[in-house]
Amino acid sequence: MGSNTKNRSESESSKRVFSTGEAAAICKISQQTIIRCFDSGRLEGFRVPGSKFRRIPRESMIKFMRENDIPLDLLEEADRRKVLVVDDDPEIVELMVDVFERDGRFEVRTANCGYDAGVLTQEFRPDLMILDYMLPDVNGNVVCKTIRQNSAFAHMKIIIVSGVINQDEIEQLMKVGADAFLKKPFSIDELVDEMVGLLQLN
Amino acid sequence: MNQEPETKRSKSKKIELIIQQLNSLPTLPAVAARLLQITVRNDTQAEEVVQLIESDPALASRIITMATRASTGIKRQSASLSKAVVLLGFEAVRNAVLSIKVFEALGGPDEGKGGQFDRAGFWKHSLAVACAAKMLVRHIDRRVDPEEVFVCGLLHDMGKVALDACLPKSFARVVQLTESARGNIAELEQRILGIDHTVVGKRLTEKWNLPESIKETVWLHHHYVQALPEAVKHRSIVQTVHLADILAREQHIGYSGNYYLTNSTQAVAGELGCSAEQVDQVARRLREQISERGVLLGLDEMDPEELYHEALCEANRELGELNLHLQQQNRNLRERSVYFELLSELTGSLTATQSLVDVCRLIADLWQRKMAGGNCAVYSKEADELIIEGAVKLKDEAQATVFLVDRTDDPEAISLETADNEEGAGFRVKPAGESHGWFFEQVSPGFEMASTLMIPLRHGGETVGGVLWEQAEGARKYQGQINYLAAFAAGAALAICQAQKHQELLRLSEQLAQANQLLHEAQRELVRKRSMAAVGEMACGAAHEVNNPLAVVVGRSQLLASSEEDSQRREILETISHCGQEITKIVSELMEFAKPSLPKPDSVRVEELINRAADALRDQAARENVQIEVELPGTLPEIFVDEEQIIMAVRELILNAIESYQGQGGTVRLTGDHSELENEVMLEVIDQGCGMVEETVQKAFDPFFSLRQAGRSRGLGLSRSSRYIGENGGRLSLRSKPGTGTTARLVLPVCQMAEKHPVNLEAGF
Repeated sequence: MGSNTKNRSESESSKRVFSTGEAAAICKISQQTIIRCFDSGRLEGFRVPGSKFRRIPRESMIKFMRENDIPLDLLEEADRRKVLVVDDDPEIVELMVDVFERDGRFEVRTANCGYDAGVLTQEFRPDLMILDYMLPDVNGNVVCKTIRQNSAFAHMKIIIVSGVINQDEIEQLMKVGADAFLKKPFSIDELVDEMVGLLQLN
Repeated sequence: MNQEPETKRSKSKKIELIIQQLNSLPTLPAVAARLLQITVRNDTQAEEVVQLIESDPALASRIITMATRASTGIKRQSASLSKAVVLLGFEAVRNAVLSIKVFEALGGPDEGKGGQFDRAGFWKHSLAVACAAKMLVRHIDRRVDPEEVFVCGLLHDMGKVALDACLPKSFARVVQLTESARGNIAELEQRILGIDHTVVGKRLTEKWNLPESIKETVWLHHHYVQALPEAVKHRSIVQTVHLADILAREQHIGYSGNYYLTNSTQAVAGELGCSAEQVDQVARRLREQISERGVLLGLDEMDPEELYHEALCEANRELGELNLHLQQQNRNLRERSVYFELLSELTGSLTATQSLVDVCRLIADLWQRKMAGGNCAVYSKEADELIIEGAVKLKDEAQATVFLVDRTDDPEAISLETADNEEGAGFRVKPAGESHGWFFEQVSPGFEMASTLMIPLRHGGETVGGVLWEQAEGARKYQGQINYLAAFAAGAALAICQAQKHQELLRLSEQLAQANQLLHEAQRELVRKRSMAAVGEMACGAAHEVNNPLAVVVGRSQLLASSEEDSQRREILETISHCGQEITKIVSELMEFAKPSLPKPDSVRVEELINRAADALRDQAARENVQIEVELPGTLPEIFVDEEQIIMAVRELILNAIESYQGQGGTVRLTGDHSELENEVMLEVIDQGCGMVEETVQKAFDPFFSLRQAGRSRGLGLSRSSRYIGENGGRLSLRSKPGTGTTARLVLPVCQMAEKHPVNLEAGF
């Protein structure tokens, strides 16, 4: 229990190779600067065989950042997966935010109704959504269905969480595009394990 | 009395009074109005006129009298109304009727003798005007019907008679003054009464709906012919009557009450295009015409008393005929009254709830006493003809006895021929021997078959029974009474039919009571199910409310535990988390109990099911030192249930059995049996543990009822078992005695497709 907090950092789940655009975003400098550094050899890397695309391995990224006094935290930040928590109970939201922040592998945003969930999905483009079934405006299955209709979010993972639901309803939820279902009250390990599984963080 | 000149005010008051008096005059009888209508049409048939006149016997008599007197060719006795109408012609009849009716309403020539106004003379004058007008009109306007002019002439002064009838005293004064002054009566009427006879007459024609031509004549006949307004429709009639009036007065025929002549005949005639010769010719023929017409109208010299006498004779003859007819009817009525007495006695004795045999008994008794004298029987049969009920009243016995012919077991044994083959033949009395052999064989050999008659009792096209009675004289006795007999039979049939329906109703209500009982039980079950559903709803609501806070409790305690260094504190936090999760399980189970998932039944082998349930508990049993023994016959058919749900139910029963030993150890036996009749499998879970008192057994299936200590178990066990078993079409019952143990018996439905999986039935039983 609680192992996630301790075992974070340089796990295999981190990104190994970056494009020049990604490197620019992480270091908060322009892509032109990165390309110039790459081409002058100050930022070590390789070109994708058979193409001209530049690629920077993680180790040379770290070396480059240290040499140029760029905080390494930025790299860690880039590794985080975006999670959107949708629940109308603020204490549940708070609990989840606590859990995910302690874990450190997740960047968390929250919404308390289906409408906000939709807006944030467009804006925040989460990798995973934790969706309460009983929302004040629409039910979770509607949110789920709406998101799945947009192909831009085809790869987004959705975990539905609810206290009152029977087996048939769970099957229905899976049909409209949920990836997993968790019953409230959930064990936080169970929740994190499910998320790690879905996002293939291991 | 009347001071002259009178004030305007009192005059107008008088006018009102006169008009009120006019209103009190009788209306012109409808027959006259109607006759006017139909004789105006061209297509009128003689029969119509005849029918109309026939409706007024006095009028008819008058018309016939007129016809016979007008024509010597018709003998009095052979005079008929239709002959009279043909003889006289429509117009003549119409005019005659009109005149007669007007005379009747105002009082004829024989009235008013005491007053100044000479009615007879007046009518004579009127007749003279009528005749003169009729002759004159030919020379004035050929388009006008002379008969119409005749009526107009006849009635032109009706206002005078009206005044005489309404205000005899005042009018007498007018007449007196006119005579002494040889003046114009209309002027005096105006002076004394405030209204003259032309206006009064006009009012009267309006009141009586007389034709427009009459109204205009009555109103305007004093007007100077050239002064008549263009709007007058019947100018030539009015003018002709005006001329005729003058002519009649010049000829001094009758009494007009007027002595004032404005113009000479010649002058007026000249203005109307009538030559002096023509007027002379009319004047010459006038007296002859008057006597001819006078006869027709009964205004001749004939004594009115004679006329009255004739009418009386006529009426008397008619009365004689009527009396004969009534005597005949009276005879018929006396015969009929016997039947009506019978019917009324029957209906008087009937009550709404009488049984069928009681009704039969009643009819038989009545018939025997009032009609038959000899033995009598009445029976009822229902549409299926399986049971015949009835009553026999023997002449020597005071009470009717009841009989019953039951053909339910073997309808062929007693052949039944009732009156059904009578279809279409009509109602009649006939010998009973022909069709009621069964009666003499089965019911009463005491009846003499040869002299027994019968009538069918039919209602609504169905034969509902019959009446049989001994009558030596045979069916002929009832000839001529058949309609009344039929009426009584219809009454009796109705009574029997009603009793049959009542009996049916009784049977039906008994069936209904039974159905009601079943319904009541079903309803109780429904109420139980509903209350379970309500618990389910509540549990769902609770679960929703409880689960979110629980999620926070569990989550937070886990989060705290993960960062807690102190192992003791961490353990406490983990306990909190665990208990939170326990709570949610309870809520979930309650939900599942109240709203179980629908069973998904399949054919299941009983041995497998029982062994799975038992095996899951062997370890736990062993800890309690309890043995689980499965003793199933190898012949049990497959059952059709949701395997998981039934396993859960059986596990609960085994668990209860284990716990009944309270740790003392013992044996839990699982046995099975098969009822082919009910197509069910019985399973029993038997222990010899502590047992339960009756009260506990009764409450054992209530949710959360448990004798075990609080905190040890949730107490949903047995009730959940019962619920699952019920949902799968089975039943669960408990037999228990304190100290000797408990047997839980569960009954489950056999798989209907058992034939597909043959089992060795011979070996087991």
